[in-house]
Amino acid sequence: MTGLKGKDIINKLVTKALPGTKEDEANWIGKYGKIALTGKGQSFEDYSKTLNKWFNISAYSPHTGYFATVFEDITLRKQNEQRLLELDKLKDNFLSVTTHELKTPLIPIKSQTQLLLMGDYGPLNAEQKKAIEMIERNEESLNKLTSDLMDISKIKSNKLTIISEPVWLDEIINNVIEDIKKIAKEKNITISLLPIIDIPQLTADKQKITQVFNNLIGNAIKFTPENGKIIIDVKNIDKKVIVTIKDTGVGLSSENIKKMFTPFFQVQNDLNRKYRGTGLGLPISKGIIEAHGGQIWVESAGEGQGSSFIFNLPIK
Amino acid sequence: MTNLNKKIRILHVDDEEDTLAVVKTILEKEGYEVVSVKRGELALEKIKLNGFSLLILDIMMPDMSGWELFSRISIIKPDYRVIFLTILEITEEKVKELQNAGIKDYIRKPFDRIDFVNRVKKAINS
Repeated sequence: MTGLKGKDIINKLVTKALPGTKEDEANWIGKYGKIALTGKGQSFEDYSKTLNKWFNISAYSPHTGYFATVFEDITLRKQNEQRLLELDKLKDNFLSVTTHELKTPLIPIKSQTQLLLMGDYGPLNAEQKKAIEMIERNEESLNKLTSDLMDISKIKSNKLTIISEPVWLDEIINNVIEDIKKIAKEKNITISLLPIIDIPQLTADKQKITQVFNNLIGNAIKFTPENGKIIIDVKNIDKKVIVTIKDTGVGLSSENIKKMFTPFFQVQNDLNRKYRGTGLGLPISKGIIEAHGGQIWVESAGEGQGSSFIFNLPIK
Repeated sequence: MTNLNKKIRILHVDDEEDTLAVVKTILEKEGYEVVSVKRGELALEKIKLNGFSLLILDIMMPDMSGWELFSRISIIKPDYRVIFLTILEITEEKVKELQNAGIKDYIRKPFDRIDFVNRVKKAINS
Protein backbone atom coordinates (compact mmCIF):
# COMPACT_ATOMS: atom_id res chain seq x y z
CA MET A 1 0.00 0.00 0.00
CA THR A 2 2.74 2.45 0.87
CA GLY A 3 4.99 1.25 -1.91
CA LEU A 4 7.77 0.71 0.64
CA LYS A 5 9.56 -2.63 1.05
CA GLY A 6 9.65 -4.50 4.35
CA LYS A 7 13.44 -4.44 4.57
CA ASP A 8 13.42 -0.66 4.24
CA ILE A 9 11.11 -0.01 7.16
CA ILE A 10 11.60 -2.79 9.71
CA ASN A 11 13.74 -1.63 12.64
CA LYS A 12 13.67 1.92 11.38
CA LEU A 13 12.33 5.04 13.06
CA VAL A 14 8.86 5.85 11.72
CA THR A 15 10.03 9.29 10.61
CA LYS A 16 12.75 7.61 8.53
CA ALA A 17 10.41 4.96 7.17
CA LEU A 18 7.71 7.48 6.33
CA PRO A 19 9.59 10.70 5.66
CA GLY A 20 8.01 13.96 4.68
CA THR A 21 4.83 13.65 6.71
CA LYS A 22 3.29 16.75 8.15
CA GLU A 23 4.32 15.81 11.66
CA ASP A 24 7.88 16.24 12.82
CA GLU A 25 9.75 13.74 14.96
CA ALA A 26 8.93 15.32 18.30
CA ASN A 27 5.22 15.27 17.47
CA TRP A 28 5.32 11.62 16.42
CA ILE A 29 6.97 10.58 19.65
CA GLY A 30 4.66 12.77 21.70
CA LYS A 31 1.53 11.55 19.96
CA TYR A 32 2.29 7.82 19.96
CA GLY A 33 3.96 7.97 23.38
CA LYS A 34 0.76 9.40 24.79
CA ILE A 35 -1.31 6.63 23.18
CA ALA A 36 1.08 3.94 24.53
CA LEU A 37 0.99 5.40 28.04
CA THR A 38 -2.65 6.39 28.38
CA GLY A 39 -4.15 3.57 26.34
CA LYS A 40 -6.43 6.07 24.62
CA GLY A 41 -6.54 5.49 20.88
CA GLN A 42 -6.55 8.24 18.26
CA SER A 43 -7.47 8.54 14.64
CA PHE A 44 -6.11 11.22 12.33
CA GLU A 45 -5.22 12.02 8.74
CA ASP A 46 -1.69 12.62 7.53
CA TYR A 47 0.06 13.30 4.25
CA SER A 48 3.41 11.85 3.20
CA LYS A 49 5.28 14.09 0.80
CA THR A 50 7.75 11.36 -0.21
CA LEU A 51 5.02 8.86 -1.03
CA ASN A 52 2.62 11.53 -2.29
CA LYS A 53 -0.15 9.77 -0.44
CA TRP A 54 -2.74 10.59 2.18
CA PHE A 55 -3.30 8.16 5.05
CA ASN A 56 -5.93 7.75 7.67
CA ILE A 57 -4.04 6.52 10.70
CA SER A 58 -5.71 4.80 13.62
CA ALA A 59 -3.40 4.33 16.56
CA TYR A 60 -4.32 2.32 19.64
CA SER A 61 -2.59 0.69 22.57
CA PRO A 62 -2.85 -3.14 22.78
CA HIS A 63 -0.89 -3.16 26.10
CA THR A 64 0.23 -0.31 28.30
CA GLY A 65 3.51 1.01 27.01
CA TYR A 66 2.90 -0.29 23.49
CA PHE A 67 1.08 1.09 20.53
CA ALA A 68 -0.05 -0.25 17.19
CA THR A 69 -1.23 1.62 14.12
CA VAL A 70 -3.47 0.79 11.20
CA PHE A 71 -2.89 2.76 7.99
CA GLU A 72 -5.52 3.30 5.36
CA ASP A 73 -4.64 4.86 2.02
CA ILE A 74 -7.19 7.68 1.47
CA THR A 75 -5.32 9.43 -1.37
CA LEU A 76 -8.10 8.89 -3.91
CA ARG A 77 -10.76 10.25 -1.55
CA LYS A 78 -8.60 13.29 -0.76
CA GLN A 79 -7.98 13.94 -4.46
CA ASN A 80 -11.71 13.72 -5.17
CA GLU A 81 -12.50 16.08 -2.31
CA GLN A 82 -9.97 18.55 -3.66
CA ARG A 83 -11.43 18.29 -7.16
CA LEU A 84 -14.95 18.84 -5.83
CA LEU A 85 -13.81 21.94 -3.94
CA GLU A 86 -12.21 23.32 -7.10
CA LEU A 87 -15.33 22.55 -9.15
CA ASP A 88 -17.53 24.18 -6.52
CA LYS A 89 -15.40 27.31 -6.63
CA LEU A 90 -15.48 27.33 -10.43
CA LYS A 91 -19.28 27.02 -10.33
CA ASP A 92 -19.57 29.90 -7.83
CA ASN A 93 -17.36 32.13 -9.99
CA PHE A 94 -19.35 31.17 -13.06
CA LEU A 95 -22.60 32.01 -11.26
CA SER A 96 -21.38 35.40 -10.10
CA VAL A 97 -19.94 36.45 -13.49
CA THR A 98 -22.89 35.10 -15.50
CA THR A 99 -25.54 36.80 -13.38
CA HIS A 100 -23.79 40.13 -13.84
CA GLU A 101 -23.65 39.58 -17.59
CA LEU A 102 -27.31 38.52 -17.64
CA LYS A 103 -28.38 41.69 -15.86
CA THR A 104 -26.55 44.08 -18.19
CA PRO A 105 -28.89 43.71 -21.22
CA LEU A 106 -31.91 44.09 -18.95
CA ILE A 107 -31.00 47.72 -18.21
CA PRO A 108 -31.81 49.14 -21.67
CA ILE A 109 -34.71 46.68 -22.10
CA LYS A 110 -36.35 47.97 -18.92
CA SER A 111 -35.69 51.65 -19.64
CA GLN A 112 -36.81 51.53 -23.27
CA THR A 113 -39.96 49.62 -22.28
CA GLN A 114 -40.80 52.29 -19.73
CA LEU A 115 -40.10 55.10 -22.21
CA LEU A 116 -42.40 53.42 -24.76
CA LEU A 117 -45.17 52.76 -22.25
CA MET A 118 -45.03 56.31 -20.88
CA GLY A 119 -45.55 57.65 -24.41
CA ASP A 120 -42.16 59.34 -24.77
CA TYR A 121 -41.85 58.04 -28.32
CA GLY A 122 -45.43 58.90 -29.23
CA PRO A 123 -48.83 57.41 -28.51
CA LEU A 124 -49.29 53.63 -28.68
CA ASN A 125 -52.27 51.80 -30.08
CA ALA A 126 -53.93 49.09 -27.99
CA GLU A 127 -52.03 46.25 -29.66
CA GLN A 128 -48.65 47.95 -29.30
CA LYS A 129 -49.37 48.70 -25.65
CA LYS A 130 -50.30 45.07 -24.98
CA ALA A 131 -47.15 43.85 -26.72
CA ILE A 132 -44.87 46.17 -24.75
CA GLU A 133 -46.58 45.27 -21.49
CA MET A 134 -45.79 41.64 -22.29
CA ILE A 135 -42.12 42.55 -22.81
CA GLU A 136 -42.18 44.41 -19.50
CA ARG A 137 -43.66 41.46 -17.58
CA ASN A 138 -41.06 39.11 -19.02
CA GLU A 139 -38.25 41.56 -18.34
CA GLU A 140 -39.43 41.70 -14.72
CA SER A 141 -39.37 37.93 -14.36
CA LEU A 142 -35.87 37.74 -15.90
CA ASN A 143 -34.74 40.50 -13.59
CA LYS A 144 -36.14 38.63 -10.59
CA LEU A 145 -34.40 35.44 -11.71
CA THR A 146 -31.02 37.14 -12.12
CA SER A 147 -31.44 38.87 -8.74
CA ASP A 148 -32.16 35.46 -7.19
CA LEU A 149 -29.03 34.03 -8.81
CA MET A 150 -26.97 36.94 -7.51
CA ASP A 151 -28.40 36.39 -4.02
CA ILE A 152 -27.69 32.67 -4.00
CA SER A 153 -24.16 33.29 -5.22
CA LYS A 154 -23.65 35.80 -2.39
CA ILE A 155 -25.19 33.48 0.20
CA LYS A 156 -22.85 30.68 -0.89
CA SER A 157 -19.80 32.88 -0.45
CA ASN A 158 -21.09 34.45 2.81
CA LYS A 159 -21.23 37.88 1.22
CA LEU A 160 -24.92 38.63 1.67
CA THR A 161 -25.37 42.25 2.69
CA ILE A 162 -27.75 42.93 5.56
CA ILE A 163 -28.67 46.56 6.00
CA SER A 164 -30.29 46.71 9.43
CA GLU A 165 -33.00 49.11 10.45
CA PRO A 166 -35.92 49.01 12.90
CA VAL A 167 -38.76 46.98 11.37
CA TRP A 168 -42.27 45.96 12.36
CA LEU A 169 -43.20 42.50 11.11
CA ASP A 170 -46.94 43.14 10.94
CA GLU A 171 -46.33 46.06 8.60
CA ILE A 172 -44.12 43.90 6.32
CA ILE A 173 -46.62 41.02 6.31
CA ASN A 174 -49.59 43.26 5.54
CA ASN A 175 -47.69 44.90 2.66
CA VAL A 176 -46.77 41.51 1.20
CA ILE A 177 -50.37 40.26 1.51
CA GLU A 178 -51.59 43.44 -0.19
CA ASP A 179 -49.18 42.91 -3.11
CA ILE A 180 -49.83 39.22 -3.51
CA LYS A 181 -53.58 38.97 -2.87
CA LYS A 182 -54.44 39.39 -6.56
CA ILE A 183 -52.67 36.10 -7.36
CA ALA A 184 -54.31 34.39 -4.36
CA LYS A 185 -57.72 35.58 -5.51
CA GLU A 186 -57.30 33.91 -8.91
CA LYS A 187 -57.27 30.56 -7.04
CA ASN A 188 -59.76 31.74 -4.41
CA ILE A 189 -57.22 31.21 -1.65
CA THR A 190 -57.66 33.20 1.56
CA ILE A 191 -54.62 34.59 3.36
CA SER A 192 -55.06 35.60 6.97
CA LEU A 193 -52.71 37.03 9.55
CA LEU A 194 -53.70 35.97 13.07
CA PRO A 195 -53.83 38.79 15.63
CA ILE A 196 -50.35 39.52 16.95
CA ILE A 197 -50.02 40.02 20.68
CA ASP A 198 -47.15 42.12 22.01
CA ILE A 199 -45.08 42.18 18.86
CA PRO A 200 -41.66 43.73 19.36
CA GLN A 201 -39.77 45.96 17.00
CA LEU A 202 -36.95 44.07 15.28
CA THR A 203 -33.63 45.24 13.90
CA ALA A 204 -33.45 43.66 10.48
CA ASP A 205 -33.08 44.25 6.75
CA LYS A 206 -36.58 45.31 5.75
CA GLN A 207 -36.17 44.59 2.05
CA LYS A 208 -34.71 41.13 2.63
CA ILE A 209 -37.28 40.10 5.26
CA THR A 210 -39.97 41.26 2.81
CA GLN A 211 -38.30 39.00 0.22
CA VAL A 212 -38.59 36.04 2.65
CA PHE A 213 -42.34 36.65 3.16
CA ASN A 214 -42.82 37.08 -0.57
CA ASN A 215 -41.07 33.75 -1.21
CA LEU A 216 -42.89 31.83 1.53
CA ILE A 217 -46.38 33.22 0.91
CA GLY A 218 -45.80 33.02 -2.87
CA ASN A 219 -44.83 29.35 -2.53
CA ALA A 220 -47.83 28.66 -0.30
CA ILE A 221 -50.15 30.09 -2.99
CA LYS A 222 -48.37 28.16 -5.73
CA PHE A 223 -48.61 24.81 -3.98
CA THR A 224 -52.11 25.20 -2.56
CA PRO A 225 -55.06 24.04 -4.69
CA GLU A 226 -58.06 26.26 -5.32
CA ASN A 227 -60.22 27.35 -2.37
CA GLY A 228 -57.38 26.70 0.06
CA LYS A 229 -56.24 28.65 3.10
CA ILE A 230 -52.97 30.25 4.19
CA ILE A 231 -52.61 31.28 7.81
CA ILE A 232 -49.76 33.41 9.11
CA ASP A 233 -49.02 33.37 12.80
CA VAL A 234 -46.45 35.50 14.63
CA LYS A 235 -45.48 34.69 18.22
CA ASN A 236 -43.03 36.21 20.62
CA ILE A 237 -41.28 33.53 22.72
CA ASP A 238 -37.99 33.66 24.64
CA LYS A 239 -36.51 36.75 23.00
CA LYS A 240 -37.37 35.32 19.62
CA VAL A 241 -40.08 36.03 17.10
CA ILE A 242 -41.50 32.83 15.65
CA VAL A 243 -43.33 33.09 12.35
CA THR A 244 -45.42 30.24 10.94
CA ILE A 245 -46.86 30.22 7.44
CA LYS A 246 -49.29 27.33 7.23
CA ASP A 247 -51.09 26.25 4.10
CA THR A 248 -53.66 23.63 3.06
CA GLY A 249 -51.52 22.74 0.04
CA VAL A 250 -49.94 19.66 -1.51
CA GLY A 251 -47.74 18.94 1.51
CA LEU A 252 -44.36 17.22 1.54
CA SER A 253 -42.98 13.73 1.95
CA SER A 254 -40.33 13.31 4.66
CA GLU A 255 -37.79 12.67 1.88
CA ASN A 256 -38.53 16.05 0.26
CA ILE A 257 -38.55 17.92 3.58
CA LYS A 258 -34.82 17.21 3.87
CA LYS A 259 -34.05 18.65 0.45
CA MET A 260 -36.35 21.69 0.46
CA PHE A 261 -33.63 24.23 1.18
CA THR A 262 -31.09 22.92 -1.34
CA PRO A 263 -30.49 25.41 -4.22
CA PHE A 264 -32.32 24.51 -7.46
CA PHE A 265 -34.21 21.66 -5.78
CA GLN A 266 -37.74 21.11 -7.08
CA VAL A 267 -40.12 18.46 -5.82
CA GLN A 268 -40.90 17.62 -9.44
CA ASN A 269 -37.64 18.09 -11.24
CA ASP A 270 -38.53 17.28 -14.82
CA LEU A 271 -39.47 19.59 -17.66
CA ASN A 272 -43.09 18.43 -17.58
CA ARG A 273 -43.45 19.56 -14.00
CA LYS A 274 -46.66 21.19 -12.94
CA TYR A 275 -45.14 24.12 -11.03
CA ARG A 276 -42.71 26.56 -12.54
CA GLY A 277 -39.84 28.17 -10.70
CA THR A 278 -36.11 27.95 -10.18
CA GLY A 279 -36.06 26.40 -6.73
CA LEU A 280 -34.10 29.37 -5.35
CA GLY A 281 -36.74 31.01 -3.14
CA LEU A 282 -36.27 28.72 -0.16
CA PRO A 283 -32.44 28.56 -0.12
CA ILE A 284 -32.39 32.37 -0.43
CA SER A 285 -34.90 32.69 2.42
CA LYS A 286 -32.73 30.35 4.50
CA GLY A 287 -29.62 32.45 3.71
CA ILE A 288 -31.43 35.65 4.69
CA ILE A 289 -32.85 34.25 7.94
CA GLU A 290 -29.50 32.75 8.95
CA ALA A 291 -27.68 36.00 8.14
CA HIS A 292 -30.04 37.58 10.72
CA GLY A 293 -29.11 34.92 13.29
CA GLY A 294 -32.36 32.98 12.91
CA GLN A 295 -33.42 29.51 11.76
CA ILE A 296 -35.92 28.28 9.20
CA TRP A 297 -37.50 24.88 8.71
CA VAL A 298 -40.54 23.13 7.27
CA GLU A 299 -43.05 20.76 8.82
CA SER A 300 -45.61 18.63 7.01
CA ALA A 301 -47.71 15.66 8.01
CA GLY A 302 -47.14 14.22 4.54
CA GLU A 303 -48.19 14.60 0.93
CA GLY A 304 -51.63 16.16 0.57
CA GLN A 305 -51.62 17.33 4.18
CA GLY A 306 -50.41 20.90 3.82
CA SER A 307 -47.11 22.41 4.98
CA SER A 308 -45.93 24.88 7.60
CA PHE A 309 -42.85 26.95 6.97
CA ILE A 310 -41.51 28.27 10.24
CA PHE A 311 -38.70 30.68 11.01
CA ASN A 312 -37.45 32.55 14.00
CA LEU A 313 -35.55 35.79 14.39
CA PRO A 314 -33.76 36.98 17.48
CA ILE A 315 -35.14 40.14 19.13
CA LYS A 316 -32.16 42.41 19.51
CA MET B 1 -38.51 75.31 -14.43
CA THR B 2 -35.75 74.42 -16.85
CA ASN B 3 -33.86 77.33 -18.31
CA LEU B 4 -33.11 76.37 -21.90
CA ASN B 5 -30.19 78.76 -22.18
CA LYS B 6 -28.39 77.32 -19.22
CA LYS B 7 -29.08 73.64 -18.80
CA ILE B 8 -27.91 71.68 -15.80
CA ARG B 9 -25.02 69.47 -16.93
CA ILE B 10 -24.59 65.87 -15.89
CA LEU B 11 -21.64 63.58 -16.66
CA HIS B 12 -22.45 59.88 -16.98
CA VAL B 13 -19.69 57.25 -17.07
CA ASP B 14 -20.54 53.65 -18.02
CA ASP B 15 -18.80 51.09 -20.24
CA GLU B 16 -22.13 49.92 -21.71
CA GLU B 17 -23.21 51.96 -24.70
CA ASP B 18 -26.91 51.10 -24.41
CA THR B 19 -26.97 52.06 -20.74
CA LEU B 20 -25.39 55.40 -21.63
CA ALA B 21 -28.01 55.88 -24.35
CA VAL B 22 -31.07 55.22 -22.16
CA VAL B 23 -29.80 57.34 -19.28
CA LYS B 24 -29.15 60.18 -21.73
CA THR B 25 -32.66 59.86 -23.23
CA ILE B 26 -34.36 59.78 -19.82
CA LEU B 27 -32.43 62.70 -18.35
CA GLU B 28 -32.63 64.85 -21.50
CA LYS B 29 -36.41 64.44 -21.37
CA GLU B 30 -36.16 66.05 -17.92
CA GLY B 31 -34.33 69.01 -19.46
CA TYR B 32 -30.78 68.14 -18.39
CA GLU B 33 -27.73 68.19 -20.61
CA VAL B 34 -25.99 64.83 -20.43
CA VAL B 35 -22.39 64.14 -21.41
CA SER B 36 -21.83 60.38 -21.78
CA VAL B 37 -18.41 58.75 -21.70
CA LYS B 38 -17.33 55.13 -21.82
CA ARG B 39 -14.06 55.25 -19.90
CA GLY B 40 -12.70 56.75 -16.69
CA GLU B 41 -9.79 58.48 -18.42
CA LEU B 42 -12.20 60.36 -20.71
CA ALA B 43 -14.30 61.31 -17.69
CA LEU B 44 -11.25 62.86 -16.01
CA GLU B 45 -10.50 64.90 -19.14
CA LYS B 46 -14.08 66.18 -19.33
CA ILE B 47 -14.06 67.12 -15.66
CA LYS B 48 -10.88 69.16 -16.08
CA LEU B 49 -12.49 71.16 -18.90
CA ASN B 50 -16.11 71.50 -17.82
CA GLY B 51 -18.25 72.05 -14.83
CA PHE B 52 -20.95 69.46 -14.04
CA SER B 53 -23.73 69.63 -11.49
CA LEU B 54 -23.73 65.86 -11.04
CA LEU B 55 -21.58 62.85 -11.88
CA ILE B 56 -23.22 59.45 -12.40
CA LEU B 57 -20.67 56.65 -12.22
CA ASP B 58 -20.83 52.94 -12.98
CA ILE B 59 -18.66 50.77 -10.71
CA MET B 60 -17.57 47.74 -12.73
CA MET B 61 -15.69 49.12 -15.74
CA PRO B 62 -12.74 47.44 -17.46
CA ASP B 63 -10.02 50.12 -17.54
CA MET B 64 -10.72 52.09 -14.40
CA SER B 65 -13.33 51.09 -11.82
CA GLY B 66 -15.90 53.56 -10.53
CA TRP B 67 -14.19 53.47 -7.10
CA GLU B 68 -10.85 54.47 -8.61
CA LEU B 69 -12.44 57.11 -10.80
CA PHE B 70 -14.24 58.56 -7.77
CA SER B 71 -11.04 58.78 -5.73
CA ARG B 72 -9.18 60.43 -8.62
CA ILE B 73 -12.02 62.93 -9.11
CA SER B 74 -11.98 63.69 -5.37
CA ILE B 75 -8.35 64.81 -5.72
CA ILE B 76 -9.09 67.16 -8.64
CA LYS B 77 -12.37 68.49 -7.32
CA PRO B 78 -13.53 67.19 -3.95
CA ASP B 79 -16.96 68.85 -3.88
CA TYR B 80 -18.64 67.08 -6.82
CA ARG B 81 -22.08 65.60 -6.31
CA VAL B 82 -21.76 61.91 -7.19
CA ILE B 83 -24.23 59.05 -7.65
CA PHE B 84 -23.15 55.45 -8.23
CA LEU B 85 -25.36 53.63 -10.75
CA THR B 86 -24.48 49.95 -10.60
CA ILE B 87 -25.66 46.38 -10.91
CA LEU B 88 -23.70 45.53 -7.77
CA GLU B 89 -25.17 45.47 -4.31
CA ILE B 90 -22.92 47.48 -2.04
CA THR B 91 -22.24 46.26 1.49
CA GLU B 92 -23.52 48.15 4.52
CA GLU B 93 -19.98 49.21 5.51
CA LYS B 94 -19.30 50.45 2.00
CA VAL B 95 -22.55 52.44 1.99
CA LYS B 96 -21.44 54.18 5.20
CA GLU B 97 -18.01 54.76 3.73
CA LEU B 98 -19.64 56.29 0.65
CA GLN B 99 -21.86 58.56 2.74
CA ASN B 100 -18.82 59.73 4.68
CA ALA B 101 -17.02 60.39 1.40
CA GLY B 102 -19.95 62.58 0.31
CA ILE B 103 -21.58 60.24 -2.24
CA LYS B 104 -25.17 61.42 -2.67
CA ASP B 105 -26.81 58.14 -3.60
CA TYR B 106 -26.34 54.68 -5.01
CA ILE B 107 -28.88 53.29 -7.45
CA ARG B 108 -29.14 49.69 -8.62
CA LYS B 109 -29.46 48.78 -12.29
CA PRO B 110 -31.85 47.98 -13.91
CA PHE B 111 -33.59 51.01 -12.41
CA ASP B 112 -37.16 52.27 -12.41
CA ARG B 113 -37.36 55.44 -14.49
CA ILE B 114 -39.46 57.53 -12.08
CA ASP B 115 -37.41 56.52 -9.04
CA PHE B 116 -34.17 57.21 -10.92
CA VAL B 117 -35.26 60.70 -12.04
CA ASN B 118 -36.45 61.59 -8.53
CA ARG B 119 -33.15 60.56 -7.01
CA VAL B 120 -31.14 62.48 -9.62
CA LYS B 121 -33.21 65.60 -8.88
CA LYS B 122 -32.74 65.12 -5.15
CA ALA B 123 -28.97 64.78 -5.53
CA ILE B 124 -28.74 67.90 -7.71
CA ASN B 125 -30.80 69.94 -5.26
CA SER B 126 -28.90 68.77 -2.21
